[in-house]
Order: sequence, then structure tokens, then C-alpha cells
Amino acid sequence: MNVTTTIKLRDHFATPFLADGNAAVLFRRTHVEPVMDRGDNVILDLEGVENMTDSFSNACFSQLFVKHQGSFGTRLKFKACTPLIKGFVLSALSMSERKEN
Amino acid sequence: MSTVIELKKSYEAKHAGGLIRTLSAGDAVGVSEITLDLRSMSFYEPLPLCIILATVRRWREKEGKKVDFKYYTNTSGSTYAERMDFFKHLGIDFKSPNQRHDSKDNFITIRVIDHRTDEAALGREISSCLVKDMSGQQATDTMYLLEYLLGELIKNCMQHSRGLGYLHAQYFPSDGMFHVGIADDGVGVSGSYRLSESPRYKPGATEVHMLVEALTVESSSTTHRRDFQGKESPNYGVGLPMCRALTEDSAGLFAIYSGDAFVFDDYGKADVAPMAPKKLGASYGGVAVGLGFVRSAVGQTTFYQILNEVRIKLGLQKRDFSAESTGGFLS
Repeated sequence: MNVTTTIKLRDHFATPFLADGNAAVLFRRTHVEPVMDRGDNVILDLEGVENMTDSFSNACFSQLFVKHQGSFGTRLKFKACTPLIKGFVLSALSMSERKEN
Repeated sequence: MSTVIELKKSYEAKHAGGLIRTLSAGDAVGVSEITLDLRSMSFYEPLPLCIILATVRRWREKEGKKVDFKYYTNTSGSTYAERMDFFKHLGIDFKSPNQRHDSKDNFITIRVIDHRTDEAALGREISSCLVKDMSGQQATDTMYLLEYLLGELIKNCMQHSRGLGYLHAQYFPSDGMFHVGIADDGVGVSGSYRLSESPRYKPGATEVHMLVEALTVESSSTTHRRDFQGKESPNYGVGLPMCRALTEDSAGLFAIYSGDAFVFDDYGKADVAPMAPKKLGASYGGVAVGLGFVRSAVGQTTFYQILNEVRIKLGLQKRDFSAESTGGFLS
């Protein structure tokens, strides 16, 4: 049976503004990819996250979408996003598809 | 050989190229002692302030030159510069009774950017300070736009310059614009591509050519390393083109100087399109970026709407792109 891991990004990064691309890469590689690599599900909880940069969202989410194609909406979900944050996630998804094309 | 460089009374962001040309007297062959005459100083916008600081640091720390200053301590210009910590960063101790930092004002002091800088914390601190006199959704959206721009610019400086940068930002009621300046004494755009072993770097390529690359989407100096295991680059080459397009969308300005190449877009003028990089006629030893946007541009539309329009304009997102129906978002 698949296990679902929920990660609160506001708590992990201790800021409502996510901007550090290097920290995004580290977070993805150490906290998200290992869970997805073993076939489990991830919910990224963005409650309390107010803003981010495209550098952060691409470093964190785009590469995740590339490595785990088709996972968005199935094994990888995003919770409590404001319209602004939802736009960053969708933009990262769009970037990952650009890369594949 | 020594030289005296006399700076003008006023330097706005649009005069940054002229300032770099003036400062280049200190780079002349054989010059080892420089006197910077600041006695006319009255009004300098953030980008010129940062260019002076980064240039002086390069002369002193990297080239071993002796730099002295001529300045007055009792003018409005010197008081203004002192409050911004401009003189402190030059190593000048005023010992003046002026109150340097007034917490009631919506300005910040000049900040140093190095590899330890927390771009998120600094971006939020500065942006929240500069919108102190605004309220409601306009204040929130303006703060988000400012911190987005700051986050991307600070990150660029930290990742690419391999040097030290100076950052300043301020709101000027006179023209209704927020101005941000960041200048470093690092390796420049061309140096970043070369040292990162980017396949986009071609030996002998001009600074103008490399600046074209830097302003192109998905063409960062480290984009080729984003798949590398172990030393993966977080860079997608989106930040700088996004910053430029955001200033265009908000009737602002965008300027970048690196080596002998530059771009200056003044979107406040009618029918201005992004200019192709050109030769400056002098060389800047690092990268200097200035941008601004009109305060009234935010409020009629939200930051979310502005961001989406800009992404579509840059081809980063299709207008009809929406994956919400796939169930990727939980409430």
C-alpha cells in the first residue's frame, strides 16, 4: 500500500517567501524525490507560503515533474495554494513540458 | 600615476553609462592612485550609488589601488548619502551628529550581497519597508513584485558574480517610481559563462554577444548543469528575462552593464521596445543591474495577473495553459 507524506514548505524553509534555488534543489533531492522514488505519494502543503520566485519554483517543481512524469495530480499534489502560488506551480509544470518538447 | 575623478551633482539610473565612462579614468593604464571627488554630490539614485561602491571595492581589493575621497560633511547630498550608509561602505567615518537611520522613513540602507546572503529574508525586509505608506491589496501586490525582483537579482549576484555586490532600493515620490540597483565587482556576464564551462560560451565572443545570451530565456551560464547529479544547478535562465519583462509591463526601466556591453530600456516612454545590447564605450568590471517600476502600475492589476501576462509574453506559458482539472491541487 502506498504511503502519503505531507510536507509543509512554510515550516521547512521557515519563510513565507521562497526564493533560494539551491535550497529548493536540496529540498527536492533529500525530502521529496526519495519518497517518490520508492513509489509513495507526496503532498506539498503550501499553507502560509505567500510568494516565491520562478527560480525557486523551477528548481523545486519543474525538475520533479520531469523526473516523475505524469505524477502531478496522481502521486504528487499541492495543498492550500493561493492563486499566486498556484500560478508558480503551473508555470513550473509548463517549464517541464517545454523541456520535454 | 594618480588621477582625480570628479563626479557630478546628480546621477540618475539613466546616467549610469556616463558614470561608468567617468569612473573608467581610474582604469587607465598606469593609474595606481585615485582621488574621487564627491564634493558636488547631491542626488544619486540606487544604481549609480552601487556602481561607485563596487568600482571602488574592485580598485582597492582586486587591483590594489589607493583610493582617497574629497567630500563635504555639511551638504544635503552628504547627509543623504550618509543616511544610506554610502560613506560607511567607502570606509569614511563621518563622526557626524546626523541621525543615520530613521525608522519612520520608507528607505533602506545600502546592503552588501555575498554568498551567505539570505535572498528571501533580505527581499522581504526591503520590500516590506518600501511599501510602508501603502495599504490594502496594492501594498501586498507591490511588496510581492518588489520581493520577486529582489529575490531574482540577489540570487543572480550570488550565483554568478563570484564577487561581492552592493544593493540599494528606494521609492522616489518625485517620479512615482521604485528604483532598485545592484552592482558587483565580479567576473561579469562573459566571465560567468566561461568559468561555468557553458556550451554557450565561445572563445572570443564579445561582451555584447554574451549579454544577448544572458537576456535570453533558458540561456543562463549554468543552465546546462541543471541535470548534473551532485552539482546540479538550480538555474533555468528565467530570472533575468522575467525581471526585464516585468519592468516593461509596469512602465519602468531596466538597465544592465557588464564589461563593455549594456542595455538601457526606459519603458516610461511611449513605444519603447527592449533594446538589443550595445557597446558602452567603456568597461564595467562586474555586473550592474538597475530596474524600476511605476508604483501606480500595481493595483489596477494584481501581481498574479502581471506575472501570468509576462510569462505568456516570454513564451514560458501558454495563454490557455491550465492543469487544474487534473486534480493536482487540494484545498
